[in-house]
Amino acid sequence: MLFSSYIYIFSFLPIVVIGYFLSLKWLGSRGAKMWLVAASLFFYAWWKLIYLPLLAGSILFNFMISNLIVKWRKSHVKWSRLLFFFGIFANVILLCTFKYFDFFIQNFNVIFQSNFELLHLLLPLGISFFTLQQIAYLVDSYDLIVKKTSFFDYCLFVSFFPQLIAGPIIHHKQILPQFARDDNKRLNASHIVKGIYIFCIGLAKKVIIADTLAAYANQGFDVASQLDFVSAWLVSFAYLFQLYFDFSGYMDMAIGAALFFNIRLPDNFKSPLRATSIINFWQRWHITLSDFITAYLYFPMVRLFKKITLTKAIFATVMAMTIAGFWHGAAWTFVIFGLYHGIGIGINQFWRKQVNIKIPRFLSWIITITFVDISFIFFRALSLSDAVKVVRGLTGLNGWGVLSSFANARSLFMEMDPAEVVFIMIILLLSAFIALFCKNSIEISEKFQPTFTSVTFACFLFVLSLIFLNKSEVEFIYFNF
Amino acid sequence: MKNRIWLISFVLGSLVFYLLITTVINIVLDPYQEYGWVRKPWNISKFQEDRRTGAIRLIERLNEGHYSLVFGTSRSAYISRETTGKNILNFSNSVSGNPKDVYAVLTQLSDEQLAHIDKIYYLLDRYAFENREDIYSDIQLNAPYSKELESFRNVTRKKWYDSIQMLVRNVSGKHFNTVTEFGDSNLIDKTWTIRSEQELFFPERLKIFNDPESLNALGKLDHFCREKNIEIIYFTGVSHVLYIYNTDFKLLELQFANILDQIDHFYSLLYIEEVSDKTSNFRDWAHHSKELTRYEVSILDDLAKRQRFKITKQNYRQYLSQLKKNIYAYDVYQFIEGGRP
Repeated sequence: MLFSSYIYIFSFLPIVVIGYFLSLKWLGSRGAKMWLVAASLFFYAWWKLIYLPLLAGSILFNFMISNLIVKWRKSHVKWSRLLFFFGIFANVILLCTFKYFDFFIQNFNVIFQSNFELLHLLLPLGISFFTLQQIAYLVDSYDLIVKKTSFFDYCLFVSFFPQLIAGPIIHHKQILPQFARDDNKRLNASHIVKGIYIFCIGLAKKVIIADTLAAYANQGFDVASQLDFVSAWLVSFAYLFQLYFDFSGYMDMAIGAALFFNIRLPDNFKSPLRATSIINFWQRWHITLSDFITAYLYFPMVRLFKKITLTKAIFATVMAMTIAGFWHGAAWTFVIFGLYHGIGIGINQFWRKQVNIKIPRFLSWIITITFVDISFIFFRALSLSDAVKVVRGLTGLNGWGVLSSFANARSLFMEMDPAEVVFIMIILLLSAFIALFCKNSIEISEKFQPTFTSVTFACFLFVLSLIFLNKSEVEFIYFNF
Repeated sequence: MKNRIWLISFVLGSLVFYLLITTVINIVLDPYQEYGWVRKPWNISKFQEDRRTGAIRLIERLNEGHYSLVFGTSRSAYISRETTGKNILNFSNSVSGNPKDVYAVLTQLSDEQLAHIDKIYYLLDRYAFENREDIYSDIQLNAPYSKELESFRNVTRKKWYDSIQMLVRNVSGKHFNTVTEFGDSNLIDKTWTIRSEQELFFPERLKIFNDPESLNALGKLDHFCREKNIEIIYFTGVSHVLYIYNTDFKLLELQFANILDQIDHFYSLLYIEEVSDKTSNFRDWAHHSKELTRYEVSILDDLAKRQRFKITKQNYRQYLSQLKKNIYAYDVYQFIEGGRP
């Protein structure tokens, strides 16, 4: 079920919210949690019922393993360690089977000229996210950071529907205490109102901006070899903004929906396209993933070194980012994406520690946005050769002439209505303006006041989004990961 | 403002805003001529209505009186009251010509509506079997047109774009084709070319003519019309010599054979001497002028005349062989601007 669908907005979400608070009133906290877990599993099963046992099995398995780890951590240290590694291994195997198996087979076939058949398994929705969250939970169980958690609390932590499919990647310490707080067990009108406001902003970001830009970006990537200088830059920026508004729109909707239950999900975006360095970019983009990489990949790697040096730290960064890139998808394009960012952060670290020359802020921003824009070409392209084609266009190898570029850019729109083309260009400029100069959702949320202006703005965004949504519900990009 | 008031304002405000925007797009602008309540300079020229509502609207007319129906492609889209002098409901733009769609539409008509059908002209050209989005199996075509329009989801992103485009074009005086008018007719596309043998062979078209579901639907449709005593005239449209020259004859033979497996006969008007070689008879590479459309229908309406063009299982191979001879006798370069290269 998509957040940006009629069934979710007008049926699922209101029913679950009402049911939750009625359950709290009549059945108590435990009953309300059961209701929310059931609703979350229903939400997941809506996509494909057959994968519900996979999610349920993963939850049950990890809950049992983590409980045993905690139980035996002091009395049976060896068993506890064995269980810990077994748990991690099982999660990685699950992820590899569904997400990476065909990738490995394909590469094996190419290298060894063999002909092993591919499984062609459909990627279970959200598997990367719920597996990652549970791996973190296992690590925390082993480190005895986890407190005793009931089964329903654990289920809720993993399956809570606003974050189940595409994050934000939550830590148990961020969520479970919130469900336990007494003042969160009452319907809070200010949270509902703020939730609606944030949800409307997210919906508009997704439906009006991201889905509109998608039409142009998709068409551009389909004719990658024909893109010359102007077209290639237009297409690459259209995709960058599409991805940003798609993903951050999803996050806003998730944060808005969670607020209805008095739950504050962690922030995931802080105006990342305003970043003035690559390190700064990752402090603003998909923040919960960055935190996870730092805590569960980078630091453990650094700890392996006896003495930490800048070179070793950079090496760990590059490795961690490459793995993070590969986590996004089973393709070499994602490996390149991660490696590219790892190298970028490495250079950034080196510059800060060794060179330490201040670059003017505007120039830093130009370098960063260009670097990021190029990286997302690899993120979007279906193959390395497609990505290279677009990069060739960016460098002018497919033609420099501004006039011919405009002619080509126009030819890209051949299949589109002229009004749609004008609208897309307006949206592209508007999206750049919003991303670079307007308050982000976190700032808006912090300063939100229930005023006439805010309600008018929310109505406007909501109705316009509903119209754009009619007969054109489009999946979120991060659903593929 | 209190939170509760904000919440109520949001619900009511959204409703009002939705009604307002729906009214402006549907009634004031009305880009597809669905309502026709407001006709002002800003919306005088409109877009062709969308396929589904177009079909529903035409079907409603069958409640009012007797009509002949036309199914087919853009090549039959100009059979109208203007060209024939008869009451015509032309479904070429809405339902088009895939037998699955045509069958779905005809079987949804009431007995009264079926009794109001004078005859059916059904163009079976190479594009008629194209599988377009299946839009007729999940709607009630006989539902009142107004109900369909009043549905909550009637205003879409596309309609929004089209409204703006329509507004801009009308205000700037740049008018364009409407549902009821002819296009820029009698303009010959100067880019007519002679294609190479390799280009003639369209594997995807072969697939279309082998689609068992469409073929099966054609048989069922024919049976349905016989059962309901409705005259149905299957035909292929008059074509320019160059168009036939560029046609793959192997493909044409397959098309004829498949069609004749399902129905007894059809009328092939593909080539008519001293008509098919007159460029002025055609608007472009594939489409007829008004005069040619009128001439085509006059043949189909005259039982004696059309016998000459009757194609059956017994004579189709011979017909195609003769057609090839006739076409290859032409110096086709005479039709190309600049002549032989």
